[in-house]
Amino acid sequence: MSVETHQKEQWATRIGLILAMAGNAVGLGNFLRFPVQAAQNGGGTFMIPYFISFLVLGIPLMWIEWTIGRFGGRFGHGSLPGMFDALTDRKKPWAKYLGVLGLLIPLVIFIYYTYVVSWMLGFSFFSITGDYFGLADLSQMRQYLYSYQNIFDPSMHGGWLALVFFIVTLAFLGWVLARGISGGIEKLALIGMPLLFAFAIVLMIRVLTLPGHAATPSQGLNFIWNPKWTSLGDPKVWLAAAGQMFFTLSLGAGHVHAYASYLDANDDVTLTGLSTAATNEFAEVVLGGTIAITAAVVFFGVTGAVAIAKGGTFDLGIVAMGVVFQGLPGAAIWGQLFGFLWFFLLFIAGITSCVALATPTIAFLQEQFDWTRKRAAYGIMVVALVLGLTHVVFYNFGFMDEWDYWAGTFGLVVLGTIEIILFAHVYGMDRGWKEMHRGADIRVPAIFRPIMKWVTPAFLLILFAWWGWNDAIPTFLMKGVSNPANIPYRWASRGLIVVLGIIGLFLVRKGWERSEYEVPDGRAEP
Amino acid sequence: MQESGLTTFAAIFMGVSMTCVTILMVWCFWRILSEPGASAGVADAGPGPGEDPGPRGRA
Repeated sequence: MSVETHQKEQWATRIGLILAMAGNAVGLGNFLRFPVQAAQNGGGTFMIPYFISFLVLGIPLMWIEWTIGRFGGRFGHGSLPGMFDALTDRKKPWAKYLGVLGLLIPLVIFIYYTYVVSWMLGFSFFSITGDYFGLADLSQMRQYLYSYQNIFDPSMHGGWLALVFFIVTLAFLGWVLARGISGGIEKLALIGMPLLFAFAIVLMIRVLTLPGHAATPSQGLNFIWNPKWTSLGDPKVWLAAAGQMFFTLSLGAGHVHAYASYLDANDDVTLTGLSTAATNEFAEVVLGGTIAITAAVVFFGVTGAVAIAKGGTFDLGIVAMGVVFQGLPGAAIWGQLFGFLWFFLLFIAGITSCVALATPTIAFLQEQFDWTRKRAAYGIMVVALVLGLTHVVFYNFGFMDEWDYWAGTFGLVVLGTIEIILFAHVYGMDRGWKEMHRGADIRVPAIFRPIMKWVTPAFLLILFAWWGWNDAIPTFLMKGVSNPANIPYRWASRGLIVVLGIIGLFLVRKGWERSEYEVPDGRAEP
Repeated sequence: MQESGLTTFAAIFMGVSMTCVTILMVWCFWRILSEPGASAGVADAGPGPGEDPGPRGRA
């Protein structure tokens, strides 16, 4: 696909672009992962390593990803294989194959994340219909969720129900993506993001004005924000903060680059990138830090909330909150309404991330194989449905856990490390700094130049080494798998990722063989 | 462990954190919205105020 074809698609408005990028970043993690991480890693003192991570990891890498994306877009590339090829001046044949990570990771995450997001659509429906009302304790609500997730357990749901909501979600995503950048993704963001913020603010006010139950709202806030000073000396807390910063800004996955590739060559990335990060941080720290854990403490007390937080994202976000809504004053009406607001807020947060996750693959199919956007969008939805069936059927066998770890956790750090080394040390910081400031509305403070060249890569390498040694190796060896009977399914899950990666490498090779590489104005890359 | 409510340090951490991210977001959007064309087309062929000074392209 030529440069002109790629750039026929552009963002219509700057606000739309920022909201789309913010939607890309704002997801389930803002509302569920952050408060748990803060509460478990030192409370208020977690914000010290968190904000330091924002300055030396989050915002530098965000600016770099925007820059790489816009740079690649000038050459008609909306995905990392082409972008990495361009960054290496097309002189390193291996670069485009490294870029396959920027197709594999977002696609793998897209498939299972869409399935999880479809649960939020389902629970929005169950809230408004009051379907789970009457299951007023954690164990009953947990069974309700389990029956929904497990197609072999029809005790509370038909086995087909999760599949129905998955198909509906995929169909909606296909429809949005087929309408293009400005006609689909941007419009979704312009409608969805203000709704998300409105719902979150309403819920925040509701939670903060709750009458005391097992605890008061101020005790709930204290649970998250009260500083535990000794945690500052614990390296795990610093690593947890760095990890949270990675996930919350959606770094290291290739979809920030994809969005940025639809910018004009002289569009600003510095102020726009900072705005995206700032919007995400507002959603996380102000809204996410206030709703779920606070509500859990009010209803279950601090001890109960600790147990819920240990149970993970879905225990907090679905099970505990499901019980909370049933305990609200006037639950028959208000509980159902607030339940709908909560789950639909999570659905919006997730769906705006899903469209971003699908974009690199769509762009790749367009640019390398001349697929139309519509064909690529619906084609990916079909692939996602077929592969997503493995999660629908094998969810309770740990199938999704493997994808979530290798693509959605470890993979992000791997790709983030690769891209910053390519940008700062192969493309070069001089050229990179200049490229970043093309059309810039604000100058990045000079201190960020050595940070990007030395501090951020060092931080990422430490993160990579630490997680590799403490986490990836035991995970690879299946240590800690509670049910040995699941091990074959987990290996099958890993095998599927490897197969997808090999297909990606093959497609890159085929794509390069058939495509012409065009440069703007026929000149070599400046 | 039961806290008696929001402690002073918790209030400080919460207040400072929330204020900082809110100010950053508001400042960013104020900068963007104060420029012409924020709600119009994104494409802008001209240099921005933060652009590197000096000649463009290769030295």
